[in-house]
Amino acid sequence: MNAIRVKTPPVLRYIYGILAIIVVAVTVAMGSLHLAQRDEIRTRDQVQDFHLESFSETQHLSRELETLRELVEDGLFAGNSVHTGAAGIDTAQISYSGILQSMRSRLARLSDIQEKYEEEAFDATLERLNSKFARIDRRLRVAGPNAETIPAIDVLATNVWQFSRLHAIAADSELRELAVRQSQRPRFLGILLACLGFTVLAVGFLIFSLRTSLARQAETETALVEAHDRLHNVQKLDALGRLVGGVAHDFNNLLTTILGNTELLQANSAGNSELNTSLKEIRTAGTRAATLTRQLLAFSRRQHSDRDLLDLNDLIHGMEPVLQRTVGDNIKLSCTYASDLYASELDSGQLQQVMINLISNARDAMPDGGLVTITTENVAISMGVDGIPDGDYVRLSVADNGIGMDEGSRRRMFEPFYSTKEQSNATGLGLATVHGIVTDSRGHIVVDSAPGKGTCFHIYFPRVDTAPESAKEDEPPAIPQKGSETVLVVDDDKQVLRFVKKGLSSLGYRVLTAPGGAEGLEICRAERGSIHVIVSDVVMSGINGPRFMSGAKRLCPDAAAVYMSAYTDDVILWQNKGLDEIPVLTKPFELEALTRLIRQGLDRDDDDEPSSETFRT
Amino acid sequence: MRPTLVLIVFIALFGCADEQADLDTTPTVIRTAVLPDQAKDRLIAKYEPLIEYFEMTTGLDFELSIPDSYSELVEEFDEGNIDLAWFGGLTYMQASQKSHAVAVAFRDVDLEFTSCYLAKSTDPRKTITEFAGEPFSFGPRLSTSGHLMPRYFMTEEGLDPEKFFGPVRYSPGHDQTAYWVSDGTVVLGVGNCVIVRSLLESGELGSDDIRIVETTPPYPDYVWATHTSMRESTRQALLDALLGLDPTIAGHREILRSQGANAYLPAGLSDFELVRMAAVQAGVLMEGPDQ
Repeated sequence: MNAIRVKTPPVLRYIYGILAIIVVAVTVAMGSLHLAQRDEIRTRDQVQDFHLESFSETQHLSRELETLRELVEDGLFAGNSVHTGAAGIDTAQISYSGILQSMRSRLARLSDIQEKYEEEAFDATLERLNSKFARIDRRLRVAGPNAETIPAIDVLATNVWQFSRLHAIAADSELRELAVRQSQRPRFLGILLACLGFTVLAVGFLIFSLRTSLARQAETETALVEAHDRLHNVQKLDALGRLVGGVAHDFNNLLTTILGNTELLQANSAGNSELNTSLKEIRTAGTRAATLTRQLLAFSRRQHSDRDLLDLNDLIHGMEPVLQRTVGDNIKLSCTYASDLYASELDSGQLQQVMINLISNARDAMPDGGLVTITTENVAISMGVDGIPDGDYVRLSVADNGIGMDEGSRRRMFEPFYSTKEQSNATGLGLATVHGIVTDSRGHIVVDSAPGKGTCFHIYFPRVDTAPESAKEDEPPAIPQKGSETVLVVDDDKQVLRFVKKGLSSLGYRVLTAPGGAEGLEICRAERGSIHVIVSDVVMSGINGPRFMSGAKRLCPDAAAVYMSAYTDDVILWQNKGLDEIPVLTKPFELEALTRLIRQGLDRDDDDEPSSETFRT
Repeated sequence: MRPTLVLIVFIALFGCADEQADLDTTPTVIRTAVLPDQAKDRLIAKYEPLIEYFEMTTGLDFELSIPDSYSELVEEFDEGNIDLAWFGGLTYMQASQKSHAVAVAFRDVDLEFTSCYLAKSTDPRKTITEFAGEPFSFGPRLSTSGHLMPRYFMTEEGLDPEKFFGPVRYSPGHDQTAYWVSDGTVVLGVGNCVIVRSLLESGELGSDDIRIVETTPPYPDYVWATHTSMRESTRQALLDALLGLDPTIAGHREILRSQGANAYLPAGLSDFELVRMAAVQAGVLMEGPDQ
């Protein structure tokens, strides 16, 4: 699997940038607020000191004014004259002098405070204070009190009161403003923090969404790459299948000739043991070659299959002794069958081959012995598990506890000619054949395997609702091979033609041969009524088998028919169309198999007589 | 839009908002209104000398108007049609809460103002508790001295006017309350002591007509206040003018006498705390932040 590297997209970088700016802005705002608050407290303290100092001075001034008023009243009650002591000292002047001196100092102090704080709001009142005090001071020092002095002192006292109230009100106002600002600040800070929190949450959600989206995109891309890989594999296997199918077709024709002629020679060399041994060797080698060709065709899915409704349990149960022999004594075979197993539509022969191949694979994975478990069960697939379409399936599992496979082997195990086995007889076609047969049967394979943990093949066959047919009747007794009927054999392979003619003639049949469809039709026309059986190849140059048979039907409606085929795409297509029910003989074949089909056709015709509809298409 | 640009616009807007808050207006004419607590002609005679004094000391033009009711004064002030107003304690608190009116100054008597309970001179009763079931009159409903504070003190004493007295009426002005007592419309009335004494001193009502039965405890009342939009220097000039009224100066003395005051004092919001409390208790002011 190709690794998909997830890069941080530009939009995410922008979001990170915005988040950083917001965090910096909020931090700066909070810092500024803190500094402003500190300055505010310092300013407030200074202002409070200012008001307090001024207020304190005015309080003293008020009390001194009361004292001064009392002194003036005393002076006025004393007859508005200047008191003179024993030493001729003016005692009233002395008293005024002290109190006035003190008041001068306080007013000077008030002026200093005022100047220090540069607060202009109090200037006019302070000026009035100084001006009115100066007038009283001058009058008292120069002429002493008179009737206007007390009202002047009262006005001055009012001015002092005004001044002290100005400070009290200003201080109160300052405190109020501060309280308002302080009450608003937590709310502002709260809003600020809420905005920050909301922004962080929103951006977090955005990032999470983006990341999720990117992860999904990566998953999709991974799935796409895997699908491409699978498609590539399928295309590769298909190309290989076509190649293999083509080779096998020609090879089968050759094997038909080799095996057929060997069979004929064997029949005629009963007394020559040395020749018989050689012929037997040739026949064994030919048979092995035929097996190999059949496997190649199975892998390429070009082998003719004869699918029927099957009970998998019955079939595997019947195979148990064979399977046990295949795995050997040091491996235990354990089979578990599901009750009420669904029926499947399978070719029993192909399935036997699948089982033999899987069991052989398991045996080779456990050189020191082990356990092979075969299990059947009904399963329902939903949500497209492992790429299998939803539906009901029969699952056949073959598991071993052998050496297992690594990722590389798992990926290549179904490739033809891929093998990890060291044995010289390993063809590398075992699992490829399994894959071909299962896929051809609309099944699916899932493999669980890991090094050291064994391997388990799960094979899924679609459920078929119709109940499986009852066991087939016993094979009919052997049909005599000999005969005297006239058989027309049509094949463009002259060697095959010669072998068939020789073999059938030796059994007493009258054999007519044609190297193609056109020649075959001419013979039909000429021998109309005397031909009992027509044996034809399927794929021929010129007129092919089906077209020839169609013409022959009109000319020899009573003749039985048999096809010979090396199995190509055309045959499969033709059969799948259901246009004909003529029995097909797979090349290479032995003479006995051919004569059995011929006799079946002839005997059925005998049963059908006197009906003229004996030629089945 | 780039984030940096957004930040700059954001900061600029905040900056502009602060600048806007500092702006105030410089009226060419100071629109002045006074509380209609007496007959209009009497009020004009009372405030004209003070207005002339303002004009002389500040160098600004003033335009005096007298609204028809207490509530009209508060409404007009809130709508920005009045720059300077002479409020009662309650109307000032309302204007402060509604329009952020800024207190400037009040008379020395306003710091410890009182209300007087009036009865006919021939009535021998000495306390208001002896007037149970008698017809009674407050001043205007939004009057501090004619209604709010007398009711507050009566309530504090456990006296519910509507249950204790006979029919309870509300006069359009303090002088009218005195006249209602004088002509027997009500047996007991309560009003602004300064106005009552002024009526008695001026001879408009004689001591053989009405007499003061009782006075309330002191409370703050009346204040000159400016609109919050007024420039600070103008407000300061008005304050200086009022604080500068000197009873030893002949012209000032006349003005102060017409105002029933010896001097003006600086005033602040906290001076009216008792009125605020009474107004909230009476349900004519919301509980909440003031100026």
